Amino acid sequence: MRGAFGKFVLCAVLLTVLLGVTGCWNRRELNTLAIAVGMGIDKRGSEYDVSIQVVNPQVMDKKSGTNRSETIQFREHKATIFEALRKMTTVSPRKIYLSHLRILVLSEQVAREGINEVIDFISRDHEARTDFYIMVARGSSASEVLNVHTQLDNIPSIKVFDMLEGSEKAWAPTSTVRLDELIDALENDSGQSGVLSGVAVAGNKKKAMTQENIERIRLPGVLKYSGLAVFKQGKAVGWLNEEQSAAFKFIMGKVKNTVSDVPCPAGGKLVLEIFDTTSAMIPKARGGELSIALKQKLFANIGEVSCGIDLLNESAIEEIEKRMEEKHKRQLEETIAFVQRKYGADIFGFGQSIHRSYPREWKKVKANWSEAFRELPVTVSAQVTIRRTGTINNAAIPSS
Amino acid sequence: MWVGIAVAALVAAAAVIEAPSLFRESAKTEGILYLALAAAGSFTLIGYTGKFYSFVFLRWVDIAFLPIGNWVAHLFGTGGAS
Amino acid sequence: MREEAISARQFTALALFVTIGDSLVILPGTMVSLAKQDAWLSMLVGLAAGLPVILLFLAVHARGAAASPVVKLKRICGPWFGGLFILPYIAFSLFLSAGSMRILGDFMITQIMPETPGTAVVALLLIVAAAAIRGGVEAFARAGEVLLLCFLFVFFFFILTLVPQVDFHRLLPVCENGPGPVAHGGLLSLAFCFIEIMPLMMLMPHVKANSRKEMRRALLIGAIAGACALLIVTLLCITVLGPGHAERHMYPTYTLAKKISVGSFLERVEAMIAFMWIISTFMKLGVNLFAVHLGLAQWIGSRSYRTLSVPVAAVTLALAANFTDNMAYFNHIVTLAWPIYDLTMLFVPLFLLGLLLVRKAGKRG
Repeated sequence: MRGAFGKFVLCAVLLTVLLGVTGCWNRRELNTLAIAVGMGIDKRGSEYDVSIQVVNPQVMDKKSGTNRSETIQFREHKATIFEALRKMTTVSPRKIYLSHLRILVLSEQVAREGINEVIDFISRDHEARTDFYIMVARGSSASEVLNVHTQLDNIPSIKVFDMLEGSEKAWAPTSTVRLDELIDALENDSGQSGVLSGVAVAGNKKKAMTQENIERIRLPGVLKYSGLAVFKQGKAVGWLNEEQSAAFKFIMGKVKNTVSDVPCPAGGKLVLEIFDTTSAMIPKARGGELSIALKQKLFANIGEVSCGIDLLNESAIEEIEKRMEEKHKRQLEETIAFVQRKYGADIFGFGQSIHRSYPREWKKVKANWSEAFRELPVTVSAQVTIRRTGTINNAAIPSS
Repeated sequence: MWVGIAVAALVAAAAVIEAPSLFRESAKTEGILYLALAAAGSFTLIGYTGKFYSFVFLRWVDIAFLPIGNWVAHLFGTGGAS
Repeated sequence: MREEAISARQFTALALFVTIGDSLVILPGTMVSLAKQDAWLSMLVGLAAGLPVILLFLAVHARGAAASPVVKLKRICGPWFGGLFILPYIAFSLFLSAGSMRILGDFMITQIMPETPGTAVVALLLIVAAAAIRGGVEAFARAGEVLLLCFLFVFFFFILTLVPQVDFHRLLPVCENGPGPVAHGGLLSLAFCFIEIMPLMMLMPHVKANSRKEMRRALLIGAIAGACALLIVTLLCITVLGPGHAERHMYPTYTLAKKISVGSFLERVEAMIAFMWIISTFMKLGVNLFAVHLGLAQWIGSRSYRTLSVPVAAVTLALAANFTDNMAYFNHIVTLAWPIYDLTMLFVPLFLLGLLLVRKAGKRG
């Protein structure tokens, strides 16, 4: 390619190409997107009723003091979730963008009828990530959960997300479940068993849905975490209460920090702040008999004392440790027995741990694991170590 | 489709500039090869002879090697459809 | 024209990129789908089986005068009979170029830009590749050296940010389904990582190595480092995602990148990770295209290998565009037929080595 003409033509062609390739083919400008932060899925007859909460960018700009809502909810129903979402373009001026989804709320009905379709759509979609929390609306519809007006954080979805995230770190009963964790739990040799956190509208439900809700100091209605929904075969079969939810999280070794009360020897109560836990799940196969041994280690500080006890006395500390161990052991054993008896759903991943350590024995019980799980002997041992007593030693004002 | 046409146009433009000089420099084999390849590529890009290409590229690999591949999968116990 | 030269270090970088190449996109997923949690063992099996293959390439290079395999074949067998081996070799390199382009195009469409025609993505990369051919071997190798730095930076970032999520229990139970699936996975890694280094042989005569030992060291270090990188990525796929999750995802390494989350502010960096693949796939594409150009030029005896850059790029694009329309069929081919094709292509270096040995023996006798 010699000659000025050749070079000229080449330059011209390249420049022309440049015009066409400067941008992204799939570009979507920020002002053409409706950024979804929350998604609620209800059932209407046999159809999915999908609610999407998108942020309202005009109101997020704090300077323009409007009284418009910070979020907008779109709602459509159709036989499948994907269709419902696409049909939403008939009501939404902008295309729904799912990458920033914070929470996915399923109504209890959806959960009970099976969540596999929901999981498939949401993990197949290329925009959705896996870092949002999935939960089941307890006692109200998913759409209502997204509709509650919230204070501190004006966007309900983000409020719920932050609440769960904060509570998960400081309160044992609260467990958060992300998409990948859910899939992991459902598919891991457990007969599609797992848990999802429950969320409920507490207080005055009607007022909670209105602007009035955030005009008071004491909110008439709030979104509240409430227990764990137990899944079996991909369907919700029931709930765990607060104590059982805490036990579940201890067994999974996910407790980062929580508090627990212990009865004092001389009556009254003492509160321990548990700041570190380790949990070991040890499967055993002795003579063809499968069993699980749970070994828990708890490290705690004394957080509140409302009884007469001499904390400077070493044997008193040991006594507290022993009482806490007993309480913890009982709590875990009762929860496991409850789940085995009532639901027969291996939410703890016992099956998986047997599979990993004893693949040959696992092959024998795999087919009817949910029956074998009901009969599985589980032994719990707990060891509590109290490290510190807080900034004071004995009770500030000794109770008589 | 439009992308194909645009690329084909680019290829054609390059051929107009480059191929004559090859013949001028009496590099005949290259010239012919140049034109043949450019034509083959462009025709496919504007939407013809795609079937032929997928045969040249992949179908024959499929036809020739899939039976062996299946046999290997069978040997290793990893399944494999017939 | 001055002889174009590559330094041993640049050659190491090229070897590393060719080993990793598009395997980084597809290999972990396909291996996990075969061998489940033992996929990392497959990678080790592949490495063990791949070392002799690399030694074979080196042996072919070391025998006879310093020239590319195409030149050697032509010199010994003549252009027509030699063509029986040269043509499949060139076609193999061309198919590898088109295949890696298609894999990258499919990935971009599936995960990042679903409404963009794949051809457009591929075309842009091929335009750059054609420019690389015009720039010549030397410039390309230098680019490889520079890109290696970027690649390693992103790679180590990728690993370090995922380490906190590693759970080694996911590797259990080891060898649950016996050695068969591990061996099949090993066959895949052998084919995709090591046999596909073959086009790199065309660049070997350009390497300015002081001794055969240095040459061998450069290639072995590059290939082994590449294999280790893939081993680490496979391990991460299993220990972070779990075998079930990794198997179901089309591109588990990308899903892995989506999981990066450091203190909830260092997130959503997956596009940066995709950059890593674009580099490695592009470098592999470049090496394959160089093999095509050098091979064609040496075969027909033309003075410059650069003249054909545009039409070859057009044909590569056409091949990539008509690869297959169906991802299921594609996966089927990739796991079952393609590795066998790779394996059978070993007949070219084996035949050439046989020829060279016989000729040497003849000369001595």
